[in-house]
Amino acid sequence: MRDREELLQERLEQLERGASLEECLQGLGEEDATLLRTAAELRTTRFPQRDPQAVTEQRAALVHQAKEQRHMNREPASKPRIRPESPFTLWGWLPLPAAAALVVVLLVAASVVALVGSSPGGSRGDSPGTDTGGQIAGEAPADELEPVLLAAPDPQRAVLRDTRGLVEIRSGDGDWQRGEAGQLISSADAVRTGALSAATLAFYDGSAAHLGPATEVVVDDLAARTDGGPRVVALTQLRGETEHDVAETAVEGSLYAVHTGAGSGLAQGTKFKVVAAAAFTRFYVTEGSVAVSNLDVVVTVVAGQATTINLGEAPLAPVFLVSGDGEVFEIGSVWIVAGQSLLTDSSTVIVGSPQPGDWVAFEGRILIDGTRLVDKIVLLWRHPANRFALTGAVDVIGDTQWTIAGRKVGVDGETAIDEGIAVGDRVAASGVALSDGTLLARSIRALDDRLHFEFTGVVDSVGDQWSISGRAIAVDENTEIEGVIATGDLVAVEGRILDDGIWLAREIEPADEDEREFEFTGTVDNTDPWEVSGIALATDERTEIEGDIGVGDRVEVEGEVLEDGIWLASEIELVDKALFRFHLVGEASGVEPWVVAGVPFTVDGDTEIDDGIEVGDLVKVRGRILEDGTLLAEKIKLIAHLGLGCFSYTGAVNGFEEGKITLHNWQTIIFDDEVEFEDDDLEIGSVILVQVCVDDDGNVIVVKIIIIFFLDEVPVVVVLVDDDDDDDDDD
Amino acid sequence: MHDPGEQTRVVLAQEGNVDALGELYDQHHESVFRYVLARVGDRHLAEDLTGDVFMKMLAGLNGYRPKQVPFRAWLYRIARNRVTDHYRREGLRTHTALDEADGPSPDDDLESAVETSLTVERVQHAVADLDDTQREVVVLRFLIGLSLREVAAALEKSVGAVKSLQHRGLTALRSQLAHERS
Repeated sequence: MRDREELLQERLEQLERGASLEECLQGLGEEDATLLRTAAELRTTRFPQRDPQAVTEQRAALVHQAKEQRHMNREPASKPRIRPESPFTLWGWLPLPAAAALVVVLLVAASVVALVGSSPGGSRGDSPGTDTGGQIAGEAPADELEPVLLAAPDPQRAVLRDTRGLVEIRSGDGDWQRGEAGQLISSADAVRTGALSAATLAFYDGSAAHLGPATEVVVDDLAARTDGGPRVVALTQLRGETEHDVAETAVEGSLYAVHTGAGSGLAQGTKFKVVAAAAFTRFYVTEGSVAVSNLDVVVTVVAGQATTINLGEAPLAPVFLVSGDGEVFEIGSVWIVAGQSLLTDSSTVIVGSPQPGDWVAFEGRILIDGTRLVDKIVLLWRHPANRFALTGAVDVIGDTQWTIAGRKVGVDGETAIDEGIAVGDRVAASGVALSDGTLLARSIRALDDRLHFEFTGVVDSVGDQWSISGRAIAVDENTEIEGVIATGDLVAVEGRILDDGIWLAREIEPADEDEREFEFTGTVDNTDPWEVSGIALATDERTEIEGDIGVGDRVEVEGEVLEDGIWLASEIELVDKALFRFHLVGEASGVEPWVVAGVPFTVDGDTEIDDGIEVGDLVKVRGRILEDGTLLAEKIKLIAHLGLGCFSYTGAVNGFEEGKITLHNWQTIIFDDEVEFEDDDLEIGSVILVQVCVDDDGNVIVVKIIIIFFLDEVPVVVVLVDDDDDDDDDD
Repeated sequence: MHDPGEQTRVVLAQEGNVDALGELYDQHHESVFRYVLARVGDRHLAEDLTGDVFMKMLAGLNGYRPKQVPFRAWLYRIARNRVTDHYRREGLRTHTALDEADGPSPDDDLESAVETSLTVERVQHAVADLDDTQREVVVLRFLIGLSLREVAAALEKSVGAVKSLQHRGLTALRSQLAHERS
């Protein structure tokens, strides 16, 4: 058979090279000759001419859209911004490989912002979620549109950039108005962000203040001069979290100040973060130094350090930092993450209700007695519970059990089931696989001609047309809206993407801060950086991208909206067009015969199986449901182990020799040639940042050492008895 | 069928050159229309879907990587997805509103049936009963004229698999045409 296929192809190529059909037919058997004649005849199929008017109109529309797009590409897009090159913000909140991956993603996104601009058809001030469907009729010609500002036009004004979610501006004593990228901010103006939102104030001298979620800042004084006069930027941070990237200047009298209710920080050529809470303010410095003051007491906080000002008190002595991420082993007053003990207190912020087995990021301080007091713990990745997904036709509908594609699937009061599903309808069911192999559905959705979406976002506006985290959301008489929802509220939205691209909500309800998952099915607009149905997606090394996905493909996307509004995808996969599919994630309790998540399935010669899968490994299985309900795996993938986690800490060098460094607190670091380290400049008083990872066996491996500052003298560690043990005991 | 100027046009279009973009449209709109028409069978619908395909091409152009897939193959991936989308929305596999074209005489034998110049309506009817992949291979390879390699790239299959599919597709199509005739 193979020879005949080759022979046919050979003769087809001969025909394509211009040989006559008769020549090509020579020597062929009757059957092959007929095939070649069929092929030749197909090539002469008579097609009708295209409608010339349609051709002209389509071409014009295409060119018009391209012009529009080219124009819009000059605008700043609200792609994920590059965070300041802060070792703590980068290494602290992502695993090392993840940090590298996300940095790459963000750099790429930012490059696109700089070089190309916003997504096709995006409107002025688009956020990543803004509908990018371009309309041609009735829009102003591209040349008449005003480009959005990327940089402040003069020292007295800052430009608002990289807006995500809900960003509002107030001029002087006026009302709060919706802020858009490109707007100018002057002295006495205020900017605030909602939940899952962020924005950047870019100053004339190149300095920038990045506002995180739920943050409010007032511009007190602004003269970001570069003409030889003193640069003055003074902000008051009323609440929230800001990161500052301060341009260097040698001009006397220059200042970059951040005032809070509890104290102030003055900086030059520095990167630092300010967290303003009701009872305290905390300054974290990642580059250079910041003079932090209150009640006439000034402390200098250098790179790798933090200080706290409790309300009405002087700043505490600076302490060094620890941050990282890893698997949670214990929670409570003391958490164990990546094998490290982390103390929490009443001011520790915990986001996402992490549980043992989950993966979290943490950020905190090393107290003088060596205790690691954690300021913030954020859920990064929920341990994949045994879960399943399957698509097929409904055979039986029962109160506690359905049969879908021949498989029995349990339902209970928590199972979300689309209305109107009848026997014979095509559905997608997903849920948990119980330990006995029973499938319990958490949702059963009708597979109709519209695309499902659900996400959590902040309400930008309400009305006939809602805007949620920048995404235009339509509502109609069937939309269920729970309670009274106002601008700034966090909501969970669920609905369908209609044929014309409109996102129509079926339900909008108040959401919890911890519920930030998203899931939708859409069309790939771009893969580098990822954009699906107008949504810019960040990815990291945990993002599972299934299939060779290209622009125009239909994909299902799942992930989480990060605190500052970035949509981080955990999974992007091609939509299986075929019915009767299944998908399992769980622990392999058997490999021959195969059982994953308690569910047995079969394999055959075509099943792709990752090497080295053993009982107990976490795996993902995809395949077909056969007519008798048997599951036949097409692919079994090992979910890679990432070790237990990685973390970074800082300290001042008190002594060193080859392969060994002693810190100010007498902690010793032993390292070998494998460690990335430029030690030529190391000296007593160097502040170093040490990156370590913990492998699956709990071994701590030093990965990298970076010198980030030089102190005139090494801090002396004196352990004091602290009577006040209910809050910050840095001193 | 490699066109050295095409790569230049693609790069220029990616850089925002609308003339190059227009040339890409000029170069490919007929064949995309033919592909769509062969798949959906309705001329007006095919006109509309062809327009959609080029809008999607524009939307994705910056993400297109010439080293990963030939341009024509990429373009037909978009066209294929658009047609699939259409069927998904309509809940149909094939369009059924075609007027029956005049077929060859019942007295014709198999070969003469095939040798009679085919109309797109007949072809569309005949390929509709092939399995999905065979149909894609037959349409892209023989109605549109993509090379074996381009078809493989468009369908994300190996060249060997496409070679096999074209043989099986032609065999099935020949039977189908003969069946229509009888």
